[in-house]
Amino acid sequence: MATTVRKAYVPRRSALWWTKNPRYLLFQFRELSGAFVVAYSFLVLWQLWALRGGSDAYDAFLQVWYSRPMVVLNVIILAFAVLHTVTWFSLTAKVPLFRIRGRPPRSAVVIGANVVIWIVLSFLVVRVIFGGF
Amino acid sequence: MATGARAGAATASAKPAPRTTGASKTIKLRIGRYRPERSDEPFYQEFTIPYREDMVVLDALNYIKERIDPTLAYRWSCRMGICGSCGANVAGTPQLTCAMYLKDVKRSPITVEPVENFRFLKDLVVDIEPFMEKLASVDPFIVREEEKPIERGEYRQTPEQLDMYRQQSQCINCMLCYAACPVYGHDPRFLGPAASALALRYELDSRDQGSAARLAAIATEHGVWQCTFVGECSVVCPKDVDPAGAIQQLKARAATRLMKSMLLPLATR
Repeated sequence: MATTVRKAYVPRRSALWWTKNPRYLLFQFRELSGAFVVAYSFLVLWQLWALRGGSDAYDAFLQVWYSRPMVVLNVIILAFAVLHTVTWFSLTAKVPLFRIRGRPPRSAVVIGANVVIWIVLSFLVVRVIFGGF
Repeated sequence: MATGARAGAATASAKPAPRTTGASKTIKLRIGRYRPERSDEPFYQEFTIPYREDMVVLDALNYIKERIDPTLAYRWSCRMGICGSCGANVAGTPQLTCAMYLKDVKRSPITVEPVENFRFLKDLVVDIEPFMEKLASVDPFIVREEEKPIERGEYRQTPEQLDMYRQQSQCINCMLCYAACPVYGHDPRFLGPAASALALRYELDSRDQGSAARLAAIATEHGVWQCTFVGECSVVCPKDVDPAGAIQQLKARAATRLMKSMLLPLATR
């Protein structure tokens, strides 16, 4: 049943609504982080393409890769990737897959377990890439 | 919790009169007003009223209505964080005006506006009909495949089964979560936080058998899948319902059900 609405005012939303609240700002950065993660995947594809081109092509790639702008870009991408990961971990805590003594595990436990697994896996990947196994 | 604090204040009539902080102490409020019979645009109006430390925003609104301007329109009822009708934007944040103490608002003048993301009807009164329609769409009641006669007794439940949905059952339909949700602000077709939380409340109820129809209604483009997990709904919720978490749980349940229906088509109802 529809209400009789006479001259109801429809408020206009500011285009800068996301600047009003730091949590909205963080949300926007989190959404933006997806673009940086995609950008990095293109960089990796570029690296593979250079690798396929042989030694000279890869040396040329490395010259660009180690340049200051590229390092800055990588640092920015890393920051957004960390933000993306941490916010994803905080999301996983919202969906309890199991219960301990009838209660869902505490958010800190779920997030902490995710972080530990993340660090261990990252460590293993670094060891595989840089040797040691 | 704010509600508990306000409940204490609501029973203050049995205690000694609240100490005034000085006879001449006043506070200024800036109230968002909309008077459709006079103007097409909302405007602000400032009021200066006597101040007491134990005053909540709703007390201030009541003072203005009773002593200064009887035309001021706003909703309220219980004064103790139960009815969920007195929500407003206080200093930019959706709050229950009965639970927000003036002394806790750091800005001056204290701005009180209608909650965002709803159409204004008059002053602080907004159109709640869109929310009521969303609420009805999730079947917020226990659905049984076959009702048993009353003489066969009630549907019994253990305390553990009650605990499964106790958090979501605390929702008071105050709609502050909708006011805080930028996704709903962007697209009013979004089912939104409170209706989703109440859907989960019945999904988790051991007595309910309406899951199939309910999940089909909410696992849609404008249902729970439209949520991008901003999380602000859970921040402003005065009853700690955590609607953002409820929506993520519903997503998991809907996805699980879909996978089951694909892999075990005969097993799902």
